[in-house]
Amino acid sequence: MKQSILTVEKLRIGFKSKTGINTAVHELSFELNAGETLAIVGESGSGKSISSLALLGLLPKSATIESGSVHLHGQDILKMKESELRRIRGGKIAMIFQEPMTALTPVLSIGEQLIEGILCHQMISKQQAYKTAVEMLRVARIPEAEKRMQQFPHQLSGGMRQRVMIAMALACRPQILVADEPTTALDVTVQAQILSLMRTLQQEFGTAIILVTHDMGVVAEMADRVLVMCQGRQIEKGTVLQVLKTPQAAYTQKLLGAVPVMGNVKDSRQLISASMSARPLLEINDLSVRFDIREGLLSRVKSRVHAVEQVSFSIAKGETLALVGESGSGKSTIGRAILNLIPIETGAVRFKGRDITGWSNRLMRPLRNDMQMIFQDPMASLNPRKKVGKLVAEPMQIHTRCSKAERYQKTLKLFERVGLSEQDMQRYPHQFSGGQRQRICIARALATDPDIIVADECVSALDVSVQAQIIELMKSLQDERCLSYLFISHDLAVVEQISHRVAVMNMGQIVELGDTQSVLHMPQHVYTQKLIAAVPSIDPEQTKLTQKGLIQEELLSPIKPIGYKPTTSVIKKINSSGSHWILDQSHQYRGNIVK
Amino acid sequence: MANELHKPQNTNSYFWATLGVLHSTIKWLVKRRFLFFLGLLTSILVALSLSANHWVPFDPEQMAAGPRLKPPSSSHWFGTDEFGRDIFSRIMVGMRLTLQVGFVSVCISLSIGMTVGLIAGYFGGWLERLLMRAMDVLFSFTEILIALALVAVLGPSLENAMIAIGIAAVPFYARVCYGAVLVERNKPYTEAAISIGASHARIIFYHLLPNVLPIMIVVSTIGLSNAILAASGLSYLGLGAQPPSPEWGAMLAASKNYFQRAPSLLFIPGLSIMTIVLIFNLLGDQLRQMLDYNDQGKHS
Amino acid sequence: MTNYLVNRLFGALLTVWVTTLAVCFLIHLVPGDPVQIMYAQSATTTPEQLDLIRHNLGLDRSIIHQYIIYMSNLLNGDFGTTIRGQQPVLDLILLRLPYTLWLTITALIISLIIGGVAGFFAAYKQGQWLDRLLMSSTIIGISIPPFWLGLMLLAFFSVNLGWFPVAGDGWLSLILPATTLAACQAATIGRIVRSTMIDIFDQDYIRTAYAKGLSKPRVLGRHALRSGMVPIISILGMQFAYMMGGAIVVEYIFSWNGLGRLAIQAIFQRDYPLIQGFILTFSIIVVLVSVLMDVLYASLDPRISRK
Repeated sequence: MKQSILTVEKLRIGFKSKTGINTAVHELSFELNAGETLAIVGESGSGKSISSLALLGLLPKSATIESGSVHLHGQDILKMKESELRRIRGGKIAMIFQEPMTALTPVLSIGEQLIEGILCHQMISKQQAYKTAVEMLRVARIPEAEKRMQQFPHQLSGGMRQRVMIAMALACRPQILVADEPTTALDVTVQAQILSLMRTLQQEFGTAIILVTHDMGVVAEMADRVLVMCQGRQIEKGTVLQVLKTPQAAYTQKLLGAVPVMGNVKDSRQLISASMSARPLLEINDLSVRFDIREGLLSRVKSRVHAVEQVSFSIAKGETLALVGESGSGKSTIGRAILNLIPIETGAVRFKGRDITGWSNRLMRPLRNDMQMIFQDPMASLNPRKKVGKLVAEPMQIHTRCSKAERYQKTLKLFERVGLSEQDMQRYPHQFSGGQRQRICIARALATDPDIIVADECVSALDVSVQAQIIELMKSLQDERCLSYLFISHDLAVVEQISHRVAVMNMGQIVELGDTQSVLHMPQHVYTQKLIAAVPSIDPEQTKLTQKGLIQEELLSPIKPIGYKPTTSVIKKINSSGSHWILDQSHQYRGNIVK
Repeated sequence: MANELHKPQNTNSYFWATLGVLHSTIKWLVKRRFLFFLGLLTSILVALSLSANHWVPFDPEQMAAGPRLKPPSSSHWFGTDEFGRDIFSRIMVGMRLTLQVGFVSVCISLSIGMTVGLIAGYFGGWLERLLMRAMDVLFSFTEILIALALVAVLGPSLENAMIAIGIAAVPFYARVCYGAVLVERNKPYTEAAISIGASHARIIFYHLLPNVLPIMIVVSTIGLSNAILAASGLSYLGLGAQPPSPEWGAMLAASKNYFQRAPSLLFIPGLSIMTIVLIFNLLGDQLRQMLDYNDQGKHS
Repeated sequence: MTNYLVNRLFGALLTVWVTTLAVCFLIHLVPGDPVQIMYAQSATTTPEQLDLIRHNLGLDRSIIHQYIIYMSNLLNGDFGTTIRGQQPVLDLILLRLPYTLWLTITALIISLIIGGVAGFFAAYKQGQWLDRLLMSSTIIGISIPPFWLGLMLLAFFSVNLGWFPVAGDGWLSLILPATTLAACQAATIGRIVRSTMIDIFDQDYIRTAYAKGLSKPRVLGRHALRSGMVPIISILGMQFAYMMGGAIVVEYIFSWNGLGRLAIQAIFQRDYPLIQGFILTFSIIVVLVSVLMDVLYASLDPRISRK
């Protein structure tokens, strides 16, 4: 018999402004039963985060609860006094947040922060609290738990910090854990570990979890019941099978439809064979990029970060090559190195047959016509004080000798092509939504009719429904103009939709390269397999969280002292034509193990 | 700049466009009443001071224009000083000197400081390290010391004080500009500008400068107040304006001996300094708040 | 941590070295003949004597030679001799230095306490009447010319009311000058503390602390304040330098027997060796305090003290 421990009834939250109160969350109602996981799903602006904050009384000063109730064991939390509420926070309901990097106080040790949380709710001695804290760290699968107690947050990685947060949250055995996008800021392999940990601890302690997320895959893996929100309104509620397999509401259907799923691609991208025989548009050979680390007295260079190590690939005209990898794999660095935005250590870059390795800005200028880039954060890549029309026209102004009127007409055509209007040309970046801004960036990249565009995580910051539109736009542009893309991303499902070939990167090296379908569905390299296994499946009947949660986090460090000579990499071909190959594991690049 | 996107328009739409712009400007001014008021006040004061010589009742340097050391009266609104000069006239003419000193020293510091900051922040490398170390060294001298040292060797005069204060404040402006340039330079839109092939000049003047300028303006208004305080301080010590100049700091120097008989001599020049400095500090504060508000996504 | 400190120490030494360069060549900025200007008031000095003085000061040698002489003298503890009384500059400076330090440190402590408390509470009650009141008073505080404030306090409390002596050496005479110095600095410190604390109150880790169920005093005191101390300490070094500068004028007004008053007299008397000595000493003190603050900062911030 399911036992309801939390009941939210007609919760209404608003933001105070000079003109009154703007309601952000309308009439939210749901129940949470003991030991179950409820996922609250929505895109940005859906009000899911603010609702979760309201449960603990942690709303920002500008927000206010207009009406409604939240009953915990029969008592309305919203009507409680601060002193009573404090006993609930951490004691009955605990919360973990999205950004592990900033969630812990930097000047206090891990141990101090754990112990004070414990002593707040339990009448035990300091020594007992210490023991409990160490035990919680062990339970959270953190290696060398005793040592961690004396360490400070900056000495731990993001994944480790999130584990500490979980340990801290569950230390007093709360009945409910509210997790606000706990894995969004983490790499996909780390995400798999954290989610698996949460599941395990839930079974051990019997905690109910409210999981706030935008990722349908996470929902499918973790949730028992789902609540879908949009623009502050509750759209649909039900068990995970009901909502994900047979969604009733139109919005839910649209949301699920927009989520890129691996293996769902109706027709994989086929390259127009005509251009296959011609000389490749872009060729990279043995590319290495290293960054200096300056330390000591006169800021001398003591060691270097080997960001990219001996990378080779080529891109044909009209083709999309995807570079996938987790943070720190070097994929963004390659994108910049190809455009000579950062210095190249060794290796060669050939564009249209010409060797452009290490060309200065002045030499590169005429080439900038043909090689363009789109960045991850569309807001930050547009100068906030310029009208977007001027920004899109700027490449034309620099490179071509058109008159003002001609430029205007061309810019207008570009705007219309990316789905924006003439009036939009006179507006400023902040007046657009994220998706619209990315369209503007695409328009700008197209201004001089380039041959190749480097897209660096260009859809990662967008909502899933908007992502799909941008991908469609990019695909149709490619078909129209025979554009090539170097598509850099960490999201395998998105990559599958747009690319012809995929290169998987780890620690600065390409570990596997081949056709999209072969690499993603028949991965040969250990790392690729690990990566694919970590991606949560959107089908709730095919959950993957069977791993017990990796215990050791082996972080290889790309930082090497000066003069370090890496071993030459050896390639192992998978198919006879050599179009699919992997890095031979026995010669894999080994680094120091960082604690 | 010659990169306006021009669309052929007819006169009718020009008219409505202007009206629209006027309407939104007025709405903006009403919202920022205080800023508007301060700006108006400043303009009035500047106008008054520039024309001071023409409309003041008495010649500021004329001794025995009235009985000595008299308190404020109907004929002498601020009273008279130890030589019988009309204080009101001296204050008004002195205002021009005060504003002039502030303005000139800020111009000197701003031009040198922004150049250093822009070069160091944009080009980086050894140039950045060298320039910023130099600024660090200058900074540790503190403005007052540099100003004193320069006046000590060049000789006391208002002009030398202006130059001394101007040079002394350079590290402050350089540091602020450098910090702002670094922040903007690390933002993707600068990298985007490079990737579309913009030249160094274009990136600095077209992209970076408009984003750095607001911060520099805010800092300049506060720097203006500091310059005025420093200049009057130097004049008080006798190292700046020399008698019989009606500079406010110099006027205070003499007051020490007479304040029991004529407290207005002590009170009024100091209050004047404080008022002008206060106006500029408030102006800077309002501008800074506006800047903070703008940074949160709204740009007017 | 050692790397950080060695770096700072190196920077400090560099600054002091550049100061010696600047100070040594300061004399060349003087338009005209410095020696003549120095002895302009002394009618009895003959041209031969002036030549001798020029020779002693090394002004007739090459620039590099001058610098070498200057540095070797300096390292031997010889800061030169004053024009007026032919006294060793170093002795004179060391005599007056303690008074300046006494004044500055007292004023720093007072302004820290007042400014720190005011800034903290203003940040805590951001937007409410207390915040607005405190912020208005700080704007006025930074607008008051310090020398005017000093004059007014002197006029009112010393001359009119006779509560404090007009000049002197003891604690009683310290009160007014210290108050003058502290008043303006307290306003500046208050504003800095307020903006730092507002930034900190907005941080994620404060929200985490509340989410754990900690009480408000604990969150504010342990998490917010401890984190806030770090950036505030780094500002203190600079504030000390400003106060030392401000002390120069304040000493003059209150006839406080410190270094500042000495410096002003030296400037009027064109006593260049004394001026040089003063500038050098001032720089060394400021740099020392700055390094001290850096050490404190490094020890308080675990991000620097541990790797």
